[in-house]
Amino acid sequence: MGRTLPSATQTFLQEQESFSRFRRALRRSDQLALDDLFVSARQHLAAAAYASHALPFETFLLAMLLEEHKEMMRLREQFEQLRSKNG
Amino acid sequence: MDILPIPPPRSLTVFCSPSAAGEPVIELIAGLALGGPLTILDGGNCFPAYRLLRAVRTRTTNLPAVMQRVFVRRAFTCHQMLAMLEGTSSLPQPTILLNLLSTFYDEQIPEHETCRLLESCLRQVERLAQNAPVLVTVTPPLTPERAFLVERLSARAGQLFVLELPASPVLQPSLF
Amino acid sequence: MADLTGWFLDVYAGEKDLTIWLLGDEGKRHCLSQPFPVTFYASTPLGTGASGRTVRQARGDAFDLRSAWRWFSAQPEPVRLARAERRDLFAGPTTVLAVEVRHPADQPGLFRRAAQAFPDLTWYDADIPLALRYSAAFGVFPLARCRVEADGSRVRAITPLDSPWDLDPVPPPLRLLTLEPDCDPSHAEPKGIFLSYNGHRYRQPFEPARALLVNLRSILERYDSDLLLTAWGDTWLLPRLLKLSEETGLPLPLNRDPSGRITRKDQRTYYAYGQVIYRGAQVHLAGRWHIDACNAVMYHDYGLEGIFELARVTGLPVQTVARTSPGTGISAMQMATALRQGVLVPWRKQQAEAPKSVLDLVRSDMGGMVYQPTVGLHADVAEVDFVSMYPSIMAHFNISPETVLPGKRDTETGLPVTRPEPGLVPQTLQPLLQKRIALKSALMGMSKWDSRRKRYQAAASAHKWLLVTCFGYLGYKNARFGRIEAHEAVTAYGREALLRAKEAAEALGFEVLHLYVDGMWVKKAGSKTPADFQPLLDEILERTGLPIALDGVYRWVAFLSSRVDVRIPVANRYFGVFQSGEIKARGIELRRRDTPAFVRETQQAMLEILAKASAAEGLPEALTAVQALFRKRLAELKSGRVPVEKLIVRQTLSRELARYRSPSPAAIAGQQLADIGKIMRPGQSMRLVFTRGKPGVRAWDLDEEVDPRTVDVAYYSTLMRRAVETMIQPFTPVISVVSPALFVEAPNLPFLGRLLEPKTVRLSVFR
Repeated sequence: MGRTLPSATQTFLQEQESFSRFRRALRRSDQLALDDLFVSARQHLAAAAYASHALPFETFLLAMLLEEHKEMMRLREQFEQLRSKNG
Repeated sequence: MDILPIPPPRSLTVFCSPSAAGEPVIELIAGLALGGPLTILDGGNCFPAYRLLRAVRTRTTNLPAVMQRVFVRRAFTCHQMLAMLEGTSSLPQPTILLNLLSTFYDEQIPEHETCRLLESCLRQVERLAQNAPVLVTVTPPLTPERAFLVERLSARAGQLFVLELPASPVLQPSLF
Repeated sequence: MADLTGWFLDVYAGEKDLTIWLLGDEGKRHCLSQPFPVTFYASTPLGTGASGRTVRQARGDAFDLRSAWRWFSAQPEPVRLARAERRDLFAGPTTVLAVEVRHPADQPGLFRRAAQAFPDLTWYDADIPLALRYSAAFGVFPLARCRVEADGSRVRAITPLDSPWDLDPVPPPLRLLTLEPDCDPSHAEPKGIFLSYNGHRYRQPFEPARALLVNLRSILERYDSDLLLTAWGDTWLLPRLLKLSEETGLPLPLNRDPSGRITRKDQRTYYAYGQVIYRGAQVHLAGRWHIDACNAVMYHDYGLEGIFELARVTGLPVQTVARTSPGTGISAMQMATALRQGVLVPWRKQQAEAPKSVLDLVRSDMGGMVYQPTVGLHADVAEVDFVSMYPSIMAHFNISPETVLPGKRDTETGLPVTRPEPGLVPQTLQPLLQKRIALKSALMGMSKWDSRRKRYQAAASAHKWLLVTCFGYLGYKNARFGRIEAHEAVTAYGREALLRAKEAAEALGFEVLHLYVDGMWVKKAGSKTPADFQPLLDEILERTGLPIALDGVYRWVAFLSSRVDVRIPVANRYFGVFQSGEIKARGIELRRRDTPAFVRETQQAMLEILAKASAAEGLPEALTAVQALFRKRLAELKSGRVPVEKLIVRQTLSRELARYRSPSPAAIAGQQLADIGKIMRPGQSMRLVFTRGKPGVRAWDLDEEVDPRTVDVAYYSTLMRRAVETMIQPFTPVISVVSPALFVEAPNLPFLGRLLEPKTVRLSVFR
């Protein structure tokens, strides 16, 4: 009743779909890496919906960047631990 | 891509296509929105907000300004459609009426009632068209019994555009 | 003049006056009458202006109230006409033509003709159920205790002696007669009826019909039950009995009121809330209640006690309330509030939305917040839920169709602004919410053996459905008092409340695992008992002003990911065990209507096995037991030892058979039934079994039983495997520790196979 805008998930899938040509032309290994990026954006659909940004894809890009940064911080911490162990 | 021309002032333009708010309509609205305020009356719960915003973005970076002067109203039954039209002042700015007939195709509304309501709605639409361009979009009727609604509307139109799907699917020619 | 006290059972229109049934304290059922003119109104049409305010519009030339006056004067029904001023909820004081109809039975027909003659006028109070009008006038509702001053059989005065909001009303000593056919008529032809009344229970065959009818008549006359409870009474049994009565010429006094008619309604299909809904035919009696347990909405949820509670609280007659959706109940309550306050009840919804900028639309066109959970297994997790969140928001923040100011937002919070005057919807909800909270706290403190427990639970369940529907109804396109801006305001406040709850949790050091519209799952090291979470509840109440409660603390809970891709979390899909031992599951196979009993029961059994594991140490053993059960059930299926009844899948027919481009399983089954003369309507649920070969589906209710050897074992095996996967998924790292060979039987489990390779495992057992 009354819902005119697509849901966050629907919007996400539409945005993902709009890059299907780009994805098709990539190498297989690059396709998998691209899929990983979209999966990480999916972790933050609720926040993207609440953001109500005029251009949803900008929010999804930010979400991808967020996950990348978290992974980077995790790796950095592991690296530091390994380095201190090996002196 | 099919392009809809800007509807001339003081006349009613009708656009019939399988989707009442598809590409041609979105592009037209985006173009109009650059020029000033406009009103969108949505009769089919089909206002494509995000796609419109993207279309506007390809034309200007000042998205917030445009967003704030495009107004949307929604009607979910044909009675609400009439109430909405009656309550819309006739301003010197374009009006886009999306999927006017969608709620009229509801089988639970008796035919004579849809007839009566449509007449009243059309009078209102003509009132709005006196001061500014009005574009009405419709989709083909779900059942042949309601086809007369489209005919009534088309008879009052100054200009009528119809988008049809190709009758037979395009066959992919083989490469070899 | 006599003074009677007793219970108000029913009111309906007689030929001239109202007929009222009272169950007297002395045990006599009194049939009384009372004159009761009813009034409806017409005004010139109102529209919604650009500012969102209601304005009067000129609509053509045919809205003259004077010609309506002349028309009414010329009608045969006795009426009294007057010019009056009444309050429209949105437009305020409005000049109306008041039409007082002397005989209530005349009003519906008169109104129908008037609406046809003057379609452009705005009509009010035109289609209000009689019981509601009566209740608004005298405060007396179905099952109310009351005092009547009667002059013979005419009512001179009536006063209520209790209130719908009482927790423990004195129940009337109703006499109950139960009738049920000896088998499901849609499956096979019943040969007899089971009768039950006053401690007797026996079976009587249909043949000879004469003996059956004579016996039934004798019971109806001697025992004179107040309530006739049947199985398939609406759709099969009563129509069959009435037909037999006609054919044999033997009377069947189903009605207690000799001058009353039996009201029959046809089956129908309608569309609401984006769904196809089917309602079976109905048989309403006069002077006696008929309730069909198979055709009563939510009967399995709250039974007779719930129906009686709904009748008391909504003011609708018992027979009506048993068969209508909660939306009708809420609508009736709103109408009752409007009537009591002298607010006009519009016949049709007239409010159109006020204009919104695209910016505003993007911000407000949203539902509740639905978060992706932290997938995996978690221990000592608390679930906190806002109590009836949306209704509480409506009541607490005064959100009502006429109080929301369109386009205005609070500068600090960004939330929609409302007028201070108490709104119609909050006023309607307030007593209901209060009673619900009182019932729930009483239930929490009650011992398991308390005799009131069942009644309180039924009442709470009935209230729950009313409250749940209230929000949806606010935005419903046909709701008389609905308004989309109010609906959007409620979701806006809901999102804000949930976010503040999250902030409260994080401020107190809790980790937030999942958020879903009105619920939150949190954990913190060292927090295990309910008392540990009390500070959180207090903080949330402080920040939001809304009532919040602890649903429970899970011993463990597993949040599931997508079946398709294990990296994608899915909202509201989980299962777990509370510290009390109680199991809770959402979004999994056993919760779905279309899952066959075989799969549902197996999954439930597996859940119970897993629930017994109290800590990580117990899990490998539990998982082995689950695996053994899976093997056993699969073997039963393959060797044909599963009764076909347990393999029935229920699917709804979504449209007329002819409208299907490529038939769904429900449509195939529907066609098979249509071929033998059993016509199914859209919205009806098909029972079917998946079979080998073409057409792959067989309706359950055909004349011959399904041959067990034709069952599509592969299909049901897949369903079973998927259900097991769901159970096992959160525990997979444990499996890889125990033995990858555990699942030899299931080579085609897509992601389980992947997960057994250590390097793709990203989850730890307890996070």
